[in-house]
Amino acid sequence: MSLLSLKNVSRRFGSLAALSNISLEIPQGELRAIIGPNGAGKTTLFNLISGLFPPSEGEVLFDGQSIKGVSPARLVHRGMIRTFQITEIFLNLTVYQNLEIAVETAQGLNLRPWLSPARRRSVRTAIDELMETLHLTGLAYRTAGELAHGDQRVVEMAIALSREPKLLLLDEPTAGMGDEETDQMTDLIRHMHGERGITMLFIEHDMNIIFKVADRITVLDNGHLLAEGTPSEISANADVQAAYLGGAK
Amino acid sequence: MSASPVDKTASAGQDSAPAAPPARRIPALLPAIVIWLLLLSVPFWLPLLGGYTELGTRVLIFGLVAMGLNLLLGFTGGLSFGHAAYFGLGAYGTGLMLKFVTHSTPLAILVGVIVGGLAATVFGPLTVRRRGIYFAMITIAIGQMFYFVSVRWNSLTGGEDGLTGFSRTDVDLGGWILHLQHPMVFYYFTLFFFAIGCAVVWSVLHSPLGHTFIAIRENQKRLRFLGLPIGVYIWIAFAISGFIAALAGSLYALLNNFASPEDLNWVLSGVFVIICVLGGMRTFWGPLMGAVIYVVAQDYLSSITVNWMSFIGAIFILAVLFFPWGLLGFFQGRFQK
Repeated sequence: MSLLSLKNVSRRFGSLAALSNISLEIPQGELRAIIGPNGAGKTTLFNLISGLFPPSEGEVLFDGQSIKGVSPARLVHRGMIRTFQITEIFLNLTVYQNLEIAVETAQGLNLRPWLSPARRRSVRTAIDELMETLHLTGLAYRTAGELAHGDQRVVEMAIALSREPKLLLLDEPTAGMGDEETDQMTDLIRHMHGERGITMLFIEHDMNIIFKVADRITVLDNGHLLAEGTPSEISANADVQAAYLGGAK
Repeated sequence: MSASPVDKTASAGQDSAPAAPPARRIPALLPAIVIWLLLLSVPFWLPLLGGYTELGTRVLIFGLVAMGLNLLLGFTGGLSFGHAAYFGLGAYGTGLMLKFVTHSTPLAILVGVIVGGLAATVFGPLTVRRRGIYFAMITIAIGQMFYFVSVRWNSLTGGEDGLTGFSRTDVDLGGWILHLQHPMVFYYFTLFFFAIGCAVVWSVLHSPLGHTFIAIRENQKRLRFLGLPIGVYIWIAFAISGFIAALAGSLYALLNNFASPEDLNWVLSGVFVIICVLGGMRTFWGPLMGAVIYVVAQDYLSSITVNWMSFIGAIFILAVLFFPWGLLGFFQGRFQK
């Protein structure tokens, strides 16, 4: 069964049709890349899936249930987590504090004005594990705002992972990164997908990464679904080459 | 944007991330110990400096309300210009109880705290949907509503003349009588409640609830996308700070044996904010420090000139210009570098 499915979804902003008649099926465990030129509607698609605004027409199903009228917060509780084009972390707090709030939220402790020592330990263990998995341990007491951009991105990933999502939406995870950082992030995405089996949907411009990690690729152009297929199918697709790859190469 | 990659393994090698930096534990407690020793001995050293015990009590009361407000202002990031309302409701609640209902001071305090705290709890949801300046405007509007009620409802509140005709009574602790009319006894009585307020704020700040407040201040968008209903938590911060303000107001009425409409006015709300900013909004003890500066400066300057407000204003402007993180924030920054 598909974890996420979009059925004939359209979204208009006034007279602008940002998305027209998009249908998508993302099976459990797939790593799907969304590509397309600027203004193709990629981020609009993300905002729609994560419940920021409803589709003008059509239906989005997550985990078999419609997300109609479900707030972004409720979707998070159902297991959908997203990151943003611009890194959204707690810049003035340390890496440890960033993950502390994430883990406490994941464990549903936010209303507690007091924690038992056992609870405290379990929170700490979860934070330590998260930091270890993402190689953040050495940066634990650094202020997040002082970190290199790539490391901030990793902190954001750690926050997202703390909730053990079923579906992870990554909006340009390697935007603004240098080569080395991009490689690290690529490894990280692969690891999350391989080890944890998290279904991922990511918007990306870097074709290298896409062809390295994606199971399937969806190409958007001008709000329309242009093509869908495996990386080799997409690179051989004449329409895609004309609209997108051709322009770039 | 080019970012230099940080060699994480190198820094991880030399410091395998202790759960909390242990070296900072002892120095972190030191200021608290010094502050508590100073507070416990106020009646003995304050007169030597030309002060008087009631001045110390007033510092505690303003410090208490500012600490409570700071939970909302400094830690959650909600600028309230209406907390005098809950302070004043605490004062009137306690005063009216003593005047018309009971001679028990503790019962009067309890009622004052509940009245003021409940008002904050009930009106909090009206404010939390707005952010920034709109949040501040709504808090003023709600606060002024109570102010005008207290001014107009002459028969009950004494109108603009304020509420008189009550006084704090002795407390019987199972045969051990606290003579509250004695300034020193009332100082320690106030210090006891101040300590409770401190304990509440401290434990909240070091719990998931407090972490959530700080996270709201830092990045609401991130938090919303972790699935948290932000408004509920701002409301909780608002309510807690309202209860603490009401407690302080209740003690203020007992200190003065008087409750004034000015206790509810937005001008006083502004004073509370000034105290937090002066002392340092991002620090635990900052509001107490701000209260020391404000209350002592007010006491001293108002004995010299009727225009004391201008001097307070000047102090505030200088503080904001040169110590934007408050006095305590400034010293902490120095100390850490």
